[in-house]
Amino acid sequence: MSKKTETGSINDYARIFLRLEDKTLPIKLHNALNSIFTKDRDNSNKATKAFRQQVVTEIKALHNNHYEILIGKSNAIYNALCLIATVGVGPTKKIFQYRFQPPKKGSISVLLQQTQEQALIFFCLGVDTKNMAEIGRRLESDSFDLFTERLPSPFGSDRNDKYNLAPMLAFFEHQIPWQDYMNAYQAAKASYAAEDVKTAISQLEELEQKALLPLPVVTSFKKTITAKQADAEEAYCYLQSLLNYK
Amino acid sequence: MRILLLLTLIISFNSIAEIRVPVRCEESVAQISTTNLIFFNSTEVIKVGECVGVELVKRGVMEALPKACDEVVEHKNNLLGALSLSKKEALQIGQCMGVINYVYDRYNDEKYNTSRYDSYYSKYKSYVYQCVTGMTAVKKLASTTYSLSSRSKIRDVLCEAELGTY
Repeated sequence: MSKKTETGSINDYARIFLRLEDKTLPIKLHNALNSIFTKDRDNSNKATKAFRQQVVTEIKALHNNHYEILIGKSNAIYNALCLIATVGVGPTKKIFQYRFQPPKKGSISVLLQQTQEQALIFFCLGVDTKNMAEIGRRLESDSFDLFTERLPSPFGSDRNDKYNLAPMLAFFEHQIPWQDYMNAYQAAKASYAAEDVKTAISQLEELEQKALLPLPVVTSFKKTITAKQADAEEAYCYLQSLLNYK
Repeated sequence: MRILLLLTLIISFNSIAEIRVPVRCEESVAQISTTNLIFFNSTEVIKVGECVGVELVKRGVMEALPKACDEVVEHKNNLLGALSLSKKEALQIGQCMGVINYVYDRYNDEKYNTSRYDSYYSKYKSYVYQCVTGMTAVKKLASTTYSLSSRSKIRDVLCEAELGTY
């Protein structure tokens, strides 16, 4: 007797979680999910096999071997996507393995530390550090079921939907010169540190204009500077008014 | 921040002997730009305010003083006051404190010059000024409604002539 499975494939569920509707799943994410849940490697260890058995089952057909998701386990796909965005593919696999082989102490927090690519995602997509802390807390808790429950989305942009992973698409879908954006942002920070506020603001504005998608970090930094500037200007006017009393 | 501000208040009010505002800080203050103000922290802005306050009191220009001291009172009452301290408010706080310290420095324990309106008797006693500091002084200045148009007027708000002990 075969196990009961969901009707949708891994890609179908990924597209639902990413709010893709009719669009196809970006190939990078397709590959990432496959390497976590299906692709057999020689180094697939026991723990990998164990967690895969919790999520998918292989259907052998004459010309069409494929995988189906076990009933009620689709949230594992969601969690995998969430972790791919925040820690990358390799660490995601490790986190799933840890459900079957106890991790060394502190391993999860080590995994949650940013790689350079993650730092870019964090920078460009405005990952909320509070949400990240919550993800870490849940992963380390014994009561959290990685296969049936959902981690919160790391993105803070959508307050009404705690599980919206759609912002991560921007990173996997388009060819975007992230490194250029990062450099421009750092140049603006440097200008600000050198007390050249005007240049800093114009650099940030230029970056906002040329960027292909909104960059929350850039916008909020610009807001901070302009608020400080307005505050200082008010004080400056007051100071001048005092000096003009003669 | 709040602790910092309170510390500044306490230090400025208590160590009056140490605090000497530059003789003429006006020139340097006139050079301060908006950009400078962005990067000054609250303590530095308060210092600028002190300096300007003293300059103005020396010239007997105190139109803005009651309002400035009002700001100190408001911040004392507001729990989050120092956290939300704007640069203008920091200037006002400095201005108020600078004036109070200056008046104390200048008049406290100084001999009271009897005027011709004083009674005959009092002319043979030695009177000295006793000036208030701290929040008492701040509140007095904040609630002043008549115009403070000269140094002696502000002295009369903050100081009283009392019988000297010697």
